[in-house]
Amino acid sequence: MIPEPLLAQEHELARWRRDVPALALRVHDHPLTYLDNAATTLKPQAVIDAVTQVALAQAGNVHRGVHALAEAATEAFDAVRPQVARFLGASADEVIFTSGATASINLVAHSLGRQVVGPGDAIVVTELEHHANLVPWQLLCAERGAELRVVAILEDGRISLEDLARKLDRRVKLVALCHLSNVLGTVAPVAEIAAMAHAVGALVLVDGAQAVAHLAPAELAVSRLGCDFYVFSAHKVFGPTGTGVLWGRRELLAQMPPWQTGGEMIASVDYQRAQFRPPPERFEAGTPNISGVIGLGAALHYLTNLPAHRAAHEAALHRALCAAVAGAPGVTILGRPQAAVVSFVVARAHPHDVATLLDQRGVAVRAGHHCAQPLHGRLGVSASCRASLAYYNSLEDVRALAAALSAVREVFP
Amino acid sequence: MTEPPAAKSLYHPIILEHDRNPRGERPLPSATHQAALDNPLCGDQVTMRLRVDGDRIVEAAFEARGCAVSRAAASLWTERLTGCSLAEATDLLERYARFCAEPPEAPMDEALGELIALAGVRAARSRRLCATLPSRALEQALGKRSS
Ligand SMILES: Cc1ncc(COP(=O)(O)O)c(C=O)c1O
Repeated sequence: MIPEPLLAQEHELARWRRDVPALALRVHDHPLTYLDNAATTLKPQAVIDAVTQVALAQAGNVHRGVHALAEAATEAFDAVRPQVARFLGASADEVIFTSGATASINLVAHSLGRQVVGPGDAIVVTELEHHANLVPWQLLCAERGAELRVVAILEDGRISLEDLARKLDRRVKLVALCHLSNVLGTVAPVAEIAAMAHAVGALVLVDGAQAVAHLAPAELAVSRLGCDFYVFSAHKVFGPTGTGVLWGRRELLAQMPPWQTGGEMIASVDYQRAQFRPPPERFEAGTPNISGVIGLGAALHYLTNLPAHRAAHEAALHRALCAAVAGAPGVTILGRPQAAVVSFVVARAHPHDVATLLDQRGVAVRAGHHCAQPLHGRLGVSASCRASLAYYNSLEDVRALAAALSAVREVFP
Repeated sequence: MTEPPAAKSLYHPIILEHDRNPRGERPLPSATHQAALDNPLCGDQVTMRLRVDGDRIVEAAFEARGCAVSRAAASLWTERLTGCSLAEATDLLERYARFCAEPPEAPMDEALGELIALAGVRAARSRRLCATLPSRALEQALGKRSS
């Protein structure tokens, strides 16, 4: 059942796990089995240290002071932008720091959205989308008198390219889709979709919130994806909460008006008017999340220095996870997951009850609609359970989940 | 396999029994008071209905799509409220809201009767919204008369 050779060696995995202190926690008298990585990932010690270091020795504000603490903060902060750019195969001046994927999408909706979407135009999303990549477009369409078109998914959870083709025409100004579904674990063929969208003159925003921790570097290169915007959150890629990234193509960013305004983003101000700085600063009003950004830098440094076979380890583990879940009594998997996550329902047991019973055995999963309520409606369930991996998970974690799922049957026979 | 203590207390036999054989799970066309509430976490929904005659609740019913905890709470409430005066019902709902918010070691409020089987949620913060969904719907229902 498990392609063992693809899994990381025991001693190597043990080292990866030692680097993440939270993995050593005990929960309700059981060792922690953390399978809620799609909600948020646990932090390597290097990230914790980097954040602590900001509070201790880099405690100044950025881009303002001339004193030592401000310079230390600025230096560490500025080093992260090129690092994120390398991670996405992009240029540093195209990388905007935000408070998270949600804020990144809202920024595009408010800035570019209001600029390019008018009455009678359309925006295209897919049935897979997280509320963060749906509701901002709903509001924009309502405000601009535009139409929101929703592309259907196939039975296995992949986006229907036929339906996409039907929904694309010259009225479509933007296509917004997730790279890796946070519910069904399907990976979108972004390059193909981007080509289809560009053929009718539409721009493409990719919600990479789930993808960044799982896909190989080549699969995250924005130039190969061919998209126009790419967004993600630091906390889903082993960094701190409250920090995120918006990558946008330089020509587009250059023409976009600011969304939030204030300090840091202006070139000059008099009492009547202001001149704005070029991107990326134009979109970063106010004091940024300094320790969050520096923590993101530490997280990306840690992740990109793991051996490349961490991806193969995770893929092998995902196959084992899906097999174990499928084999548990009364369990039905939603769609056909391709990576990182598996969502499922258990006959005669509500997802919340399942998750509580798993938690009592130290197994952390998510229960609910995972901020994808319309998708759950489309799948004919009101909620589900979701187990989601990171590179630091082990076969032991998969076994613990399987054992805990069998025990659910004892309470809800 | 023996049940860990906390899970045992959240899934008290009374809860599991009410989940499996709910009392009062039916429509109530003659309801004088009703309210529906959603749990935004999971999209679950419960509708609580009461038929009030004068000052007394003469019938209580619910319809729910939800977890064992919220369904059992709804079922227990329909039993507990049938025959109560409106003042008694308001008092019980207040006691229950307090009871759920208290720390696990706080004493049980015996006036709540079998509803104290839900005491496990006092140690499971994330499930309090489930345990209080029916009672919050009842508070709304009693605050307004259905047309
Ligand atoms: C696919 C997807 N998009 C967007 C988000 C929003 O991320 P955040 O809450 O960090 O802004 C999430 C997080 O749950 C997600 O899974």
